[in-house]
Amino acid sequence: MALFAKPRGEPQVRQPAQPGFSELGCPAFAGLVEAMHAREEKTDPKFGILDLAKASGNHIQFFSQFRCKYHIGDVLDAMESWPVPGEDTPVVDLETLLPLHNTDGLDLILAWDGLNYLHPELLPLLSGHLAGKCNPGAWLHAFVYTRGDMPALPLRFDILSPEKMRCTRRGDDWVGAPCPPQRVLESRLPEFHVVQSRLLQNGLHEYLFQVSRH
Amino acid sequence: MFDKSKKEPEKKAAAPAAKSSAPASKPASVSNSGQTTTIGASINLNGELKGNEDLLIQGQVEGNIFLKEHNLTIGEQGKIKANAFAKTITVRGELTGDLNGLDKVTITSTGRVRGNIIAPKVILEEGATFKGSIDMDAKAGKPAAQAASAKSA
Repeated sequence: MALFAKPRGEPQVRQPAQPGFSELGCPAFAGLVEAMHAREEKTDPKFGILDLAKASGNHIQFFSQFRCKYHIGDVLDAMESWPVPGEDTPVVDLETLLPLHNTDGLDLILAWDGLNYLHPELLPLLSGHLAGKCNPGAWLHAFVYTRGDMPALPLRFDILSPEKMRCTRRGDDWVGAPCPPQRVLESRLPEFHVVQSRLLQNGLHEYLFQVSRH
Repeated sequence: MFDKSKKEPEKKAAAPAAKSSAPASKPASVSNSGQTTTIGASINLNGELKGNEDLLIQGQVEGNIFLKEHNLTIGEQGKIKANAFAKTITVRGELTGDLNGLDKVTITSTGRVRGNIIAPKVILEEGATFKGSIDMDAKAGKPAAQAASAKSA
């Protein structure tokens, strides 16, 4: 699962400093929701939303307040079968591996924890693939680890309110986190640029990207 | 009054398939208990299903299913490759295809769906697997347009 992560020796068990779940404020997400409401008032859009995580009833419930077409990417599951570029497979066919049919264009991509677990060489490919599906001004919201370790499995995020989320850890194993600084992260997602970035209390960094003009 | 023995005995949902040349929409191996017709686990259907009663599918169906004003349930043993249109759709088994629920689509904890959903209300229970897209139009469907999930995945 953790394609990008490098296990650091034996799995560690951390208790109780890192509980199985925690609540965190997410100011950039709150601002994003506000911006979506503002856009809704002006133009009555039907948002195209891509959730790169597994299907979540909580996410679906939250975004049902908007007129939207909500796509489930389940990207980590899909990417388990992705070849790593350069290892006898120079071409990664994202159209097949992450098909996005019947989209009128994406306005929002939710990358909640997934970016931490993908091979760094896949990120620019994913960035290009997604940017090609985005409408002008589309957002990409992400949580990225900034500390040395991260759970071996991606966190699950539940939206409690636009300002607050609950993240739940699955399992007690930890692995080394890639922790790319913002500059590196931006270079791996060249079609997007950071519009907001906040370091959150639990070591996650909240990023709001916007697709650059293409 | 509530003596079960007075009721007509229900046919087993998974009763052995009777050989029949009946059309796909009314095979002899389909049982009907009250208002719900059951397609048993040993049944394979290929074609178009239309009906005016609730339907529980435990078998395998390929094609299209139209139950305009009735409820469709894909049982835990059901394996469906079809587009389905019904008042409510509940998936406990496997389904590949597009779902159009007039009122609601529910994927239970055992359900696995790959396809697209159009419904004013979508419930995804903890453990449910879904890949595809959901078309939600909060304004058109209110107050039902709350893709609710008490037990979100």
